Amino acid sequence: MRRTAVALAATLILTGCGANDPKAAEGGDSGGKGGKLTILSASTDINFDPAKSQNLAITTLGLVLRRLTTWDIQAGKEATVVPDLATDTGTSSDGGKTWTYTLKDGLFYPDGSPITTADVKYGLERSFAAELSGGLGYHKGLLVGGGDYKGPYTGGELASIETPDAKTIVFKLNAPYGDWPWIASMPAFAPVPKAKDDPKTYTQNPVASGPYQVASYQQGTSVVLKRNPKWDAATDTVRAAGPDEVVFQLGQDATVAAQRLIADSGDDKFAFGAGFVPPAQLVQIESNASAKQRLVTSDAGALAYLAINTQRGPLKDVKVRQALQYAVDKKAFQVASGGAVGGDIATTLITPGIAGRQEYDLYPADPSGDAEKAKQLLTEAGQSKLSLVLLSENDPQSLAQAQAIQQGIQRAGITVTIKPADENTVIEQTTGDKPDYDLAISSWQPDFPSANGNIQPLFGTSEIGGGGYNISRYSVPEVDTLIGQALGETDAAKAQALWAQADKRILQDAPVVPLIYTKNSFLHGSNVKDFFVAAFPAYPNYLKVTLSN
Amino acid sequence: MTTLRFLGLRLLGMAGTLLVISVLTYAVFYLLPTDPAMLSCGKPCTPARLAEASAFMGYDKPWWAQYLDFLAGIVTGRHFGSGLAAVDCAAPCFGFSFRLNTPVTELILDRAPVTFSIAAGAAVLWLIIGVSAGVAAAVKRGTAVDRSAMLLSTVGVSAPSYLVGLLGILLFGFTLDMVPVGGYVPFTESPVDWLWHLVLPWTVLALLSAAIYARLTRGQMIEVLGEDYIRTARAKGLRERRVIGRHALRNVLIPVITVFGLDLGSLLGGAVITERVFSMQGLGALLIDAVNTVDLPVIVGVTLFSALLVIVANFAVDLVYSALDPRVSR
Amino acid sequence: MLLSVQDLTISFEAGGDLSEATRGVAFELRRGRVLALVGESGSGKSVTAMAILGLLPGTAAVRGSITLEGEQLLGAAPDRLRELRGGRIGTVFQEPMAAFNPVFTIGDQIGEAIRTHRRLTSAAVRERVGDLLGTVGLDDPERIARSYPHQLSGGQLQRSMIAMAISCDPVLLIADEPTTALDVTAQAGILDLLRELRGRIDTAILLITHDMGVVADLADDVVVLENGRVVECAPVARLFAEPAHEYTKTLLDAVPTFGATRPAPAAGAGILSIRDLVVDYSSRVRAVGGVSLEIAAGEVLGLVGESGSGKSTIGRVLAGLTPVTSGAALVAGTSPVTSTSPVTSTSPVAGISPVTGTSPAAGIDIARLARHPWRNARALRRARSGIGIVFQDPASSLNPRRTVADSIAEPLVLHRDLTVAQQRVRVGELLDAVQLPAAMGRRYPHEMSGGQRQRVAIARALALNPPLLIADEPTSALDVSVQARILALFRSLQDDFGFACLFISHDLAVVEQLAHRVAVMHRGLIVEQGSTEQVLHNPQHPYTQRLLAAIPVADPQRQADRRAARVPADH
Repeated sequence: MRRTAVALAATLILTGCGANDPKAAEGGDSGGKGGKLTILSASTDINFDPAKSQNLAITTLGLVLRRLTTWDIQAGKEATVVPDLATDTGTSSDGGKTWTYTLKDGLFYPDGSPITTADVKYGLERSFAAELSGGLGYHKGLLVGGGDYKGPYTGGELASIETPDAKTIVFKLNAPYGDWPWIASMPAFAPVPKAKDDPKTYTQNPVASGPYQVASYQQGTSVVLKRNPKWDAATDTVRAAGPDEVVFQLGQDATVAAQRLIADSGDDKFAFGAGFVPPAQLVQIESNASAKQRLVTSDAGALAYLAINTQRGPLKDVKVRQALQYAVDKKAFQVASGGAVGGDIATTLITPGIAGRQEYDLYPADPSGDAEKAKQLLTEAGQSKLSLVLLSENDPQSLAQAQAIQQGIQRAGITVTIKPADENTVIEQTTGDKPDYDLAISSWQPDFPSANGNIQPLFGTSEIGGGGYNISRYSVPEVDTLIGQALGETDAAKAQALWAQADKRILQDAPVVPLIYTKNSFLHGSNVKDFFVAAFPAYPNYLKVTLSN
Repeated sequence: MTTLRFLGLRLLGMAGTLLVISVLTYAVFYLLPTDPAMLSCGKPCTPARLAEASAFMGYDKPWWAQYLDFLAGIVTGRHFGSGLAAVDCAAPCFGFSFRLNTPVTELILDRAPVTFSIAAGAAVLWLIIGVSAGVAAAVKRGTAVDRSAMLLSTVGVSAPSYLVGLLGILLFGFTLDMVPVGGYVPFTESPVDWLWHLVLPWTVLALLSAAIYARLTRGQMIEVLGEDYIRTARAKGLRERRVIGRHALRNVLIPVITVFGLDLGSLLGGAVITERVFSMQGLGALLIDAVNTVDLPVIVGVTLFSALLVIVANFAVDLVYSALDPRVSR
Repeated sequence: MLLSVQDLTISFEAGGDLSEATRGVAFELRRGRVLALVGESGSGKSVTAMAILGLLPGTAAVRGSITLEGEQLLGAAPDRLRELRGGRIGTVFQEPMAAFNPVFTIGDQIGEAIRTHRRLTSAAVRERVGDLLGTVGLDDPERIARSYPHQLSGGQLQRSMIAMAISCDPVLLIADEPTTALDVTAQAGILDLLRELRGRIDTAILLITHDMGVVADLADDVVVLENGRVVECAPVARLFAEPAHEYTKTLLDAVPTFGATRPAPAAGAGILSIRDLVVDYSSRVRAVGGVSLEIAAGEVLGLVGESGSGKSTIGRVLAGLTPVTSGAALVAGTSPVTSTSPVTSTSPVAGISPVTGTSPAAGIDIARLARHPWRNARALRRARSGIGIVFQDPASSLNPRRTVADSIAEPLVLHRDLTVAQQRVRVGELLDAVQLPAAMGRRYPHEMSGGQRQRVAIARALALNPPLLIADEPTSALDVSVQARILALFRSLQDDFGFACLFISHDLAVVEQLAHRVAVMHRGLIVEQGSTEQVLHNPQHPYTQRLLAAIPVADPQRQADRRAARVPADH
């Protein structure tokens, strides 16, 4: 699951608040084939090893590596899982414990050799090696025998992945898992030919299955992708593969990158920024008509929320937690997050853009909160002098947000002390086994766009401590049962209904206060076309970008 | 005492200093609340996976054992993991960055030319500009030249380098389109592009530091011009240019060079802000990235390397000092 | 006429005010003659020399006329003046250590002077430098040329400076206090050299000095300056025999001369006992090589020697400032003075009663304490309260940010429990004792003259009525007339207070006036000690004899006789 680093956020497309380039959303003004696309990135390296990567399916890694399934992300539409190397998103049997995939025809590596299911199996196996840890590893706990398997270098093969022939692959799971088609879109499901596997260099020199291959890799400076001649557009429904060449300029200062894109001269006309536009430049862009046209704000996406530690003193009382629902000033939090471009007011746990989401509001009140109602609930709970500790990251933006929360809650007569700490310490505190906080502000964007990703990692009993993100430390057997049911449901529609039910059920216990659905803003050059940012994931879809000729 | 013996003692002292710094760095980072293994744990990060990653990278041992491994690695090299996927870090191994999948030694050697290019060019520029301005101000003391030089230097001393860098980019990069707005081109690839990309960072860094050197030089020069030997030089009938340029300057440079050496030494360890603004991946950027991602081996490696540079700079300053000032005997 | 100065008026502008440094100065100098410009600090003698060189700062306004070989120098083109400087006019400054650039070799600096005015090959320059260094009596010219200033002695440096000054055969040599910073034996050598050169290279010398002994030794004619005006101008013999002007008389009277010595006082109890004192500054430098000294209560011991002899090191040891290698320095502990206590005398200083003295054998060993200055801080402080110290330069030993009264009261605050009112009374008494008006107490050091500052330093040293006073060259930085008054004060204070004193000086005439006994130091050892009469009037050790012979006396005739009789110096 992805914890968004900065809480900026988004609007629900269905409500018509989308800030995407309207023309792009309509599908008009598309670019064509060819050209050199430049992507300005703040990070200093790109990890192409599928075992170690945590990349989204629609960004860098998706240009080079294909997986069994992938995401179809389009502006204004909910994210869906679609076949990539496989012919479908998976056929389940044995009540959802066995999943079978068949590869499409006409799939080749750049050297002309065919892509086989053995390569997919090998790619997954190597992701178990300690040497290659660090990636998205949801499959590791699901596959039979995955808990003890040490990878192909020392541990032989993993029996629960079967490849009866070069086109077929079968996965045996410990328990039914309805979201397996999403799991099959993770980087580790990309094929790795065993003969070409050099674990030391694979991160810079992966064997391409997508439309591009790595042509040059200069650590810290730039990565250049060129076309993979053996990639066949006919086998691929999600990749437009517009530019002939994609250049990543690494280690770019966010401010300078934004200035370059605002200036929009030379090669920068064919560039976009991979990072969020800094607040100061957002203001600058307001008064720059040309740049304003090229600013794309995502639809409302990741959830920012106030976690309530349900295992601490008075907070064990659901009445007190419900009082907090009313006491919090979501409006003030939104202002502290950058106002309307920062995000939309949130009331649910499942975020916009996720299939099956149902909108509701259990604690209806003005976005600024209802202090009277909160006081009333507190009186009912017999709590008059409550004093709470709010854990916050210590950057200016987080502190401003924490102060907005503090001021809101204090209206209900509750004393709130802000405890600032650096990002790593906050993570350690909230996901570790020694929690020392009453409240914590967090935000959450799932690693794959299923409602599952909004619920299970944040509210399952198994996710408390030990690195898990259930930072409310919320544990209700009824909810765990519901989650188990939903996880095992292979019928997508039924599963979605179960997740929506869980969403509401959890908020009845008020372990968190949903604050806003955050939005992210990105800037692109004037010759970059088909550039949009959906609700999930709230990042540009690299796969669709084209250049005007 | 022979020169050899002197050198030997100095080198021993330098090695000792580095050892102390490395112990401290290890101890300090071991005290951090964050487990460096979290970085390589992946998602979801189960305790079992964390322990596995920790053991593979050697973070499961107590800090002193890790430190001893580190020291041994410098001499013998290190291996992590086993089998085909084992990671090799050849001697001298100053650690291995699992995040960047590269030995720290290689990373430093890779990034050092960037920082060195920035630092060396800027240093030469600021020394020339700063000393000339300081000499001019001292010689024309009390005149408009002096006042404007000192006003500019006040501005320079107090200006934040990030801001000046950005303004430089906006003006010369975007508005006038004279120089590239960032990035680094290796000298070996294209000397012209190398120079072209470095002009702006050099100028920005040099102007800011030159301000300090102008003040220092001016103060020293005014003091030296009051010395008896300057009067002697004039009484010999020397031209004023020679009095200033030879007799005074040589004495002025002694303290200036001392400060310069130390400044250069610490700048070579990473021009953090400049590298960031101009998107150049030098040692400073490497260190900042490493700190942000708790990449312990890189933090230790770069810190040690920076310390080494400062120590070497100190040593060089002493050598230059004794060359410039015959009164200093070893 | 070689040099003619007429109606020279030099004024400086400072903060809008014009202050005159000289007014209507006039004199003439012929080829082959030595003219001495004499005066105390502020008399305008050095300014006049700088005017001739054209090296006055830009804030100076010059009127009148200066001609060299008939050529008007005032208003001459800068390039022409530069040709003359170092070419026709050579200059020798005081403080040769400061006058040479520390970062270039002597040969380099002399060679530079030659190349500035002559077109010669570098080999020829090198050869000329060697010749010049030989000419000024330096033994190993090659080594001297290769040396940096800090590697040479003051005498060697001043000879090198003279070599540089004469490198281009000047017609005029300006010697500005050429021997002031030098030891007497070195001074004698330099004066001999200048006299010899005048005859040999046929140059005129403009000698600027405050020292009547130097004048008597070298000058043909004398111009006396007071506050920027010429008060008297006469041939040297007449000036000394029949000084016409009051000021000239004052100057001559102020010169300490050999004559009656002070008789030794009645033997008192021991106050200070130094035994086998050895001080090493490093493994190679031994500053003091086994010195034993005794000072009795009420006795003044003059410790004389040239620079580097180790005499000041002994002073520093007693102040607890320098660690000792071996030996002892015992100071009578809780204190002092027996018979001549100021309480019983007519001294104005009252209120602090001295304790009856103890033998120094039972006293405190400062040498031992100073080995661990931190551990023994309290004991050292107690020991120091029994010792008053006066240094050479009062300007640097007084805190510029404190008033004089505060400076004097400082030891009282540190060492005695007196009320503020009592302190104020005591400060008043001390100012009175050193003959300063009480109002001076409110001034800061920079608002006082050098003599006044030294009086303050003495008052402070006496604040605790110490049984022992250490005075390290207390008058060397002062003009002669001021020096005479300070010495007189010192003598009367010693009579009144009866403190014992270690008086460190290079000036034998000064020591003769004050000391009951004299010890002569040479290269870290005491070569001779005894009563003042004995040591200075009937010296036994050759070094003492040489030292005495080297001192120029302020009488041209006697000085000529002494010169003739002088044992040749060993350099």
